Formats: sequence, structure tokens, C-alpha cells
Amino acid sequence: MTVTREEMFERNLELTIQRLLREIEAPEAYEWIPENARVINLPKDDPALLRANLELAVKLSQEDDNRPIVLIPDPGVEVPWQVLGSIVAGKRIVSIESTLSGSGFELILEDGSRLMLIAVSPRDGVEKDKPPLICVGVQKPST
Amino acid sequence: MARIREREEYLTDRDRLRIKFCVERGKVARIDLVQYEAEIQGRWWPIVRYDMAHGYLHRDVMKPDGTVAEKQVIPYEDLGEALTLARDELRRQWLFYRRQFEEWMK
Repeated sequence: MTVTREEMFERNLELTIQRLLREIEAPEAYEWIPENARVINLPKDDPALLRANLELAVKLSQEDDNRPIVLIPDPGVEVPWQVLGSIVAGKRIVSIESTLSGSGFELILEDGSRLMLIAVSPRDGVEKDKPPLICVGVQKPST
Repeated sequence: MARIREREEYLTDRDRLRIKFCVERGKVARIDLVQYEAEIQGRWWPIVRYDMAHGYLHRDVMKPDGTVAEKQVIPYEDLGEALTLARDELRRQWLFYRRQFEEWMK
């Protein structure tokens, strides 16, 4: 199943506005989002949009832009690393490595690009029932 | 201390929102900008800009030369209502605004 561009726009618009409304209520819960980040939603109960958005993340990661890409799951979404990996495998994953700091994983894709996934644990001021937040940084392949 | 936060929210690979807001004493004090941007001919362009200054929601429809083609002022009660007004308007009109902008570029 795929989504049209119009559907993708409208569903992501809704997810984005709903999250911003939550952020107005509790800005501290989203303080971790890096400044000038590029943000992509991970929707609940919408596998076609989830796939499209992860493909978008991969595409953005291959641009010549070092700003962080942040994937934010909808409340109630659990994003198992394996599922995330298999979907990103639209670009085949060559390997998964722990980051040097040990706080996350890097997916190494077949074209040499790397998606760095860092799970951000709940901290002070963040409710424990909030979904895990995932920050994706990008390292370009060395040429 | 007031802190300005800015980010890009991707809707598709060629459409995004630029969001800019101010957090003061742990609360969102104001939303400075919700801007719909589109990638056209390899470049990102501002298409429609909403700002929420002075108790009104201002909507500016932008032209390729950076001038404002159309201005509208919409009253709102609170930040949440301003955001949902912007959402409703964008949901109805984004494709029209984009196509109109592409026409202006010709």
C-alpha cells in the first residue's frame, strides 16, 4: 500500500499540528529537539505513511545538509528497532553498529550513508508514559 | 529568559512547514511563524506565511519575488486556535497556493 503525495501532505499536516498543540501545553517535553532540526513524524496505525516518512528520512539523510533529522513517534507508538530497520531497508541495510558512545545504533545503508539512531530516554520533567523519542543524526559516507 | 525555537516539519519530500516560536518561563509565549514552503525547480520557496502577532492571525500569500500577493487578518482566541485555523486553511488550499506560485514563476 502506498500513499499519494496529497495524502502524505494532509496526514503529516494533521500529525504535525496535533504535536504542536501538545507542545504548547508542555514545551518541556520537546526541549530535546535540536535547534533547526528537520522533523519527520512516525505515525500510529498508518503503515503506508510510516514507510513513506522513513523513506523521506533516508532521502533527507543523503542530502548535503548536516542539520539533524528527528523522527518523532506519535503517542502510543512503539517503534521496535527491528521494524524501523526493515522499513529503512527500502535502502538495504548492510549492517547495524553501536555508536561509539553506546547510546544508540547506526544503520549502515548499501550506498554507504549512515543513519544514527539515538533513543532519548525519559528525563526529569518528561512523563514516563510518553513515547520514546528518537533522534536521527547523519554521517555522510567518506569518499 | 525567552528562547526562540525554530525547525522544519517535513510533510512530503517537496513540502514542509517552517515553525518558529518563543518559549518563555517554560511556556510557549507566542508563535512567530508557521510558513508553508515548497521545493520547486530545486529550490525551497515560502508559499504562505502565517504569523500570530498582536492577537491576530496574519496570512500572507507570497510571490516568487518575495513580495506579498495577498494579506488577510483573522482574529483568534489562543495559540491552539490559531494553529488549527492555519491547519484548516492549509489543508483546503495548499495545492492551490502551490500551483498558483508555480504559475507566477513562468
